[in-house]
Amino acid sequence: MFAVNKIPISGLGEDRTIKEKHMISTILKDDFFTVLRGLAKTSRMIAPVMLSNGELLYDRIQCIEDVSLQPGIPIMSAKEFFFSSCEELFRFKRIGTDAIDFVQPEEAEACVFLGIRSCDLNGVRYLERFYKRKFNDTTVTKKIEKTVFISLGCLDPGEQCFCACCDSGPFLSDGFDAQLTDLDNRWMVEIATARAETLLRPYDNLFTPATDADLNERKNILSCVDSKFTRRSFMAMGVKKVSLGAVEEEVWEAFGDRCISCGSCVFVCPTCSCFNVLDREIGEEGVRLRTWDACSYSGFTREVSGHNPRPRAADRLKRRFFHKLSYQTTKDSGRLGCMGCGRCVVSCPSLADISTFVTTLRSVRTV
Amino acid sequence: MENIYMPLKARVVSVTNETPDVKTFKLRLDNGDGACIPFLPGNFLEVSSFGAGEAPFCISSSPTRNDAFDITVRSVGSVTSGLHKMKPQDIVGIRGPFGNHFPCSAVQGRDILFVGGGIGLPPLRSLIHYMLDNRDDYGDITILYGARTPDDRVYKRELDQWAGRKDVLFLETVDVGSKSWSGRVGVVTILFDEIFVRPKITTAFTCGPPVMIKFVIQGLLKMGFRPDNIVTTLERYMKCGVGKCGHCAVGEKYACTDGPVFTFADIQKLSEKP
Repeated sequence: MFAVNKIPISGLGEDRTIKEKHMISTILKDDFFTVLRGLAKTSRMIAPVMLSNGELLYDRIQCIEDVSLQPGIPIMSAKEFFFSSCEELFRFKRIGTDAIDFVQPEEAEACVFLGIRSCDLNGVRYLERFYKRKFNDTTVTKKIEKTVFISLGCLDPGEQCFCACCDSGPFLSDGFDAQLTDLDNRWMVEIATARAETLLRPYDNLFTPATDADLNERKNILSCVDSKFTRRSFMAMGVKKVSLGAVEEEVWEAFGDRCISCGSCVFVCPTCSCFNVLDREIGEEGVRLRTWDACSYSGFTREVSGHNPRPRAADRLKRRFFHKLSYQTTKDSGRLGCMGCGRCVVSCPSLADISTFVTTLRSVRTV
Repeated sequence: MENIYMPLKARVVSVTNETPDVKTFKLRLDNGDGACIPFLPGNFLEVSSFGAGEAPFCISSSPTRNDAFDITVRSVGSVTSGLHKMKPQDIVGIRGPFGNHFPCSAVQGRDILFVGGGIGLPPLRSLIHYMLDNRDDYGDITILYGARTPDDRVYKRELDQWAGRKDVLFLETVDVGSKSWSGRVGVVTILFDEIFVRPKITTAFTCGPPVMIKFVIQGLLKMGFRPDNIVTTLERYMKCGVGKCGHCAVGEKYACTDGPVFTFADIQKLSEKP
């Protein structure tokens, strides 16, 4: 038919057709490495790598041996690769005093994102939906569209994790191109889109269709994972109280007093998407940059007149949690704005994270 | 693939000094006949002073005078001081027009009351020109304007023209007078005592500093205006203009895409106090 080997993955970028029935097969872990080696030859790849201190980090893969599909949650979310902490929106160049030329940023490149966690892929889909609505921000959405996501279901949720409370993990039912489940010496591979199928077709002979026994094994694994979560955050209570404006003022005060407005929760969050825009110019050439910004910073809403609608840390936390939790804002995004990845639980130096917040709301009620 | 952050090139056509720190720039697109992209009073533009950055400005001219976009700018930060250095023929960038607009056609046949404060007059000026150019479509038009000092009055020549028109009632005041000022002294709400309005058939449009808006709305409600007949703009620190950067969010709304024009009734419904 056609020589799949020669087709660069960029050629598949647009075909996000979701298959009616997911194709499920298994592959020996050693054989899967052969697949990865092959994929890395034809396309750019992002995957978790293990740092020398044992922590995981999503990174661009130069050498396929660096890929780590060990359990654990990477320190940063996946958003950096689609909505970068600092990126060029365009360049401009002055020609004499009378003219100016613009240079568009480079086109997004096709890419395979291997081993993305369920919470993080849900975060990427959340960003995709947000950046697409009303005005389609192609600087973000193009990169997401051109990426094939092979996600990794989590069997060992960490202490910080509460994705099960946020309906964003530990496994996905949609939103991925392919999903991996660890079956000891094999991977179970669930293919959901035509482009994932095309991508893996050259390695067809290495895959075995999943048997009933395999499917049962996965079912058992999935039912065990739920009981492994140690952190429970009762989001429904948070959603209700925040939406109705029923959170006690002393709770906001207490969290405002604790919050040091450092912005770390925002930067590690897979769904936080606020940014600042600034120009940098050297000589005749300049660049317009977009950088991450944080609604917890005191200057985030400060106007040039000095007027600041959210002068207190409590006002800003109220905003942040309202955006993540309320019916009013989640109506537009189609789901909760928190993915339960728990990174803010780890990064917050003062227990002002969303998980502690919703847990507090529950205890306030029951007191 | 369209980059929503890429501006169009435009040129400064003319610069008018309004006050010691406010200038009005006439901007014309640098392509073809330079005609404006269609807009309505209340819309805003993102204007770039390349190297300094980009900031949102309401369009202070009316689409009925469609040869150029006017923006009226106080020099306060890096972008605005970059703009203040500009001369005719200099290049700026334009994105937009963005945002919603004043309900120009919905208020046809009604009496109109404008209450502007200081640098809050520019967005109203677009609508004032629009209504004066379609004068027969509207009932009585009253314009109230307050500035800090006589020097801070913007559009001085136009104010005199409005004062001279028989089909418009124009009254103004300054917070602090001067030797050469023979007009009223006091905040803009003192003018309410001098006018006669019929709140049921009048729509009020008010723009200005937050504290002024607060007192104007109180005054209008006392006069008997319904919250949905009081129209204002929500000015927020804004970056992208297209609902992405998050700066101008108020509750579940974005001032840039859901606003900047809101009725007081809309504002009361917001889950965050603006």
